[in-house]
Amino acid sequence: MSIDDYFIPRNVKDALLLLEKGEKGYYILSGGTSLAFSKPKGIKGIVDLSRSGLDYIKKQKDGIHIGAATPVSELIKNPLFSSYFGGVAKEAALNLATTPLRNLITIGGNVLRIYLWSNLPVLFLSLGARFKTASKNDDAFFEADEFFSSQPLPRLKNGRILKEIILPPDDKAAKGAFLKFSLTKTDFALLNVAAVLWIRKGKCTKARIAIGAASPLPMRLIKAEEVLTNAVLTQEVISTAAKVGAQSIKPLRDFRVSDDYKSRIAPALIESCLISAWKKFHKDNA
Amino acid sequence: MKIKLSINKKKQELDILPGEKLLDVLRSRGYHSVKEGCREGNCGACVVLLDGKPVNSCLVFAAHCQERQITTLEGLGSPGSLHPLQEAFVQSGAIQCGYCTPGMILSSKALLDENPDPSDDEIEIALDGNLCRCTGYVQILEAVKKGAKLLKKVKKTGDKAGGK
Ligand SMILES: Cc1cc2nc3c(=O)[nH]c(=O)nc-3n(C[C@H](O)[C@H](O)[C@H](O)COP(=O)(O)OP(=O)(O)OC[C@H]3O[C@@H](n4cnc5c(N)ncnc54)[C@H](O)[C@@H]3O)c2cc1C
Ligand code: FES
Ligand code: FES
Repeated sequence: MSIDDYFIPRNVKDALLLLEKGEKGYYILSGGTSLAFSKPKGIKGIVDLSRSGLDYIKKQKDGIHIGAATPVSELIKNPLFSSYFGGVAKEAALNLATTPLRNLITIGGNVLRIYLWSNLPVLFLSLGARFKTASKNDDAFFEADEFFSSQPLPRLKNGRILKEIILPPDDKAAKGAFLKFSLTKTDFALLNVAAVLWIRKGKCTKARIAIGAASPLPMRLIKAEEVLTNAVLTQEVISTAAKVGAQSIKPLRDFRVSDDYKSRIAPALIESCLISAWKKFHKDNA
Repeated sequence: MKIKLSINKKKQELDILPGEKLLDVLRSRGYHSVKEGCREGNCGACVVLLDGKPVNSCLVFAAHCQERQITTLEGLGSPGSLHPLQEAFVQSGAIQCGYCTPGMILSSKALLDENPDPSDDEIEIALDGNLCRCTGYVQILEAVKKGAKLLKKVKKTGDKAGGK
């Protein structure tokens, strides 16, 4: 099947009309990196979102609104993210592919088609992001836990577009960290972890931890979060949480690494990530 | 389909197929500095600047570049009048086979346009998408630093070389 049509709509409404016109043969292009790499079966046309008004980052009362077609490089360049939750979003972006790819890959494209190595689904699960989608008739919102409970893309197939990712407002009582374990800095993750800790009056009041590349979809480490919640954090408490978290995953083998190897590095990676987030509180008080 | 775009500051109208990649369109129009390596976004040999930012042209549909500006190495210097970064790469011995060089220089140019005084870390991040199988990267890092100095000098003296 060849690509016969290429459209660059100037707004989301026109993009939705084009999707309807193309029935199932028209595909959305955001950054285009996965679409250009492997052409989907039955593709007849492309609806390119790059100029449809979805490339923005806006700070509002209810949080940071990011247009789905915003390149990943903006998470590094935009000053809003340098200290946001201890810089966790910037860390996740800096660990995602390479500079020229980050100028192409978009935040929406990265979360919709989840690969084993995907960074941003893990980040957004740890932050508790929300996702705004639009069809011709309505807008629909999803919480991160629901959004990532299955591959998001098939759920959007029927003429729906991801418009926005809404991140919670920055909370100075919270700090996060993102860690990727890979053979080289720019290689695909063998495992990646994002953790956000909320500490008030010396006590951890809330924790959200997510792991990626362990299973086909990123997952929360709820049991580890429970160990941390209401605890006064110490190296020991963090080690216990990391061990408990690692026990709740059943890593998948992928062609680069055995499941056993992943199981062994998981507690160390979770622990390092938690410590990295925890240390950021000390830096603030120094 | 027909698209209008600018390549190396020259406005052009190109007849392309909707599924064609920018890499193939540029090479078939004679921009041979744009190299084909992996075609998967891994090596950076195909890097060009899209509105001033480095991108892997093997993963970009040419149709996406409608009304946008492309820069290839042909748009920087010429054999008789090298761009300061080209000069720096030659002087630093940062070129062996030369296959990675166009992508390296364009990624370096994008960095120095935004940040004329980058740290070693910033240079490494800017070049993290460009692989070199020959040099071992040390001379390339030196070349970027030398290029930064030469560019500043050119700006100060108003020298035309590299002014493109
Ligand atoms: C060499 C290489 C290394 C990489 N390394 C990493 C890495 O380490 N970590 C990581 O996280 N990622 C990495 N990636 C990126 C990842 O593999 C995908 O290519 C990328 O996330 C896709 O994003 P995109 O914006 O290019 O999406 P596109 O290719 O444009 O779209 C992806 C899919 O989503 C659909 N779509 C896109 N936007 C919308 C929308 N708004 N509404 C509805 N449908 C939409 C498209 O139709 C398509 O099916 C790498 C990519 C490459 C090529
Ligand atoms: S040919 Fe494009 S990155 Fe290798
Ligand atoms: S000089 Fe040969 S690949 Fe870099």
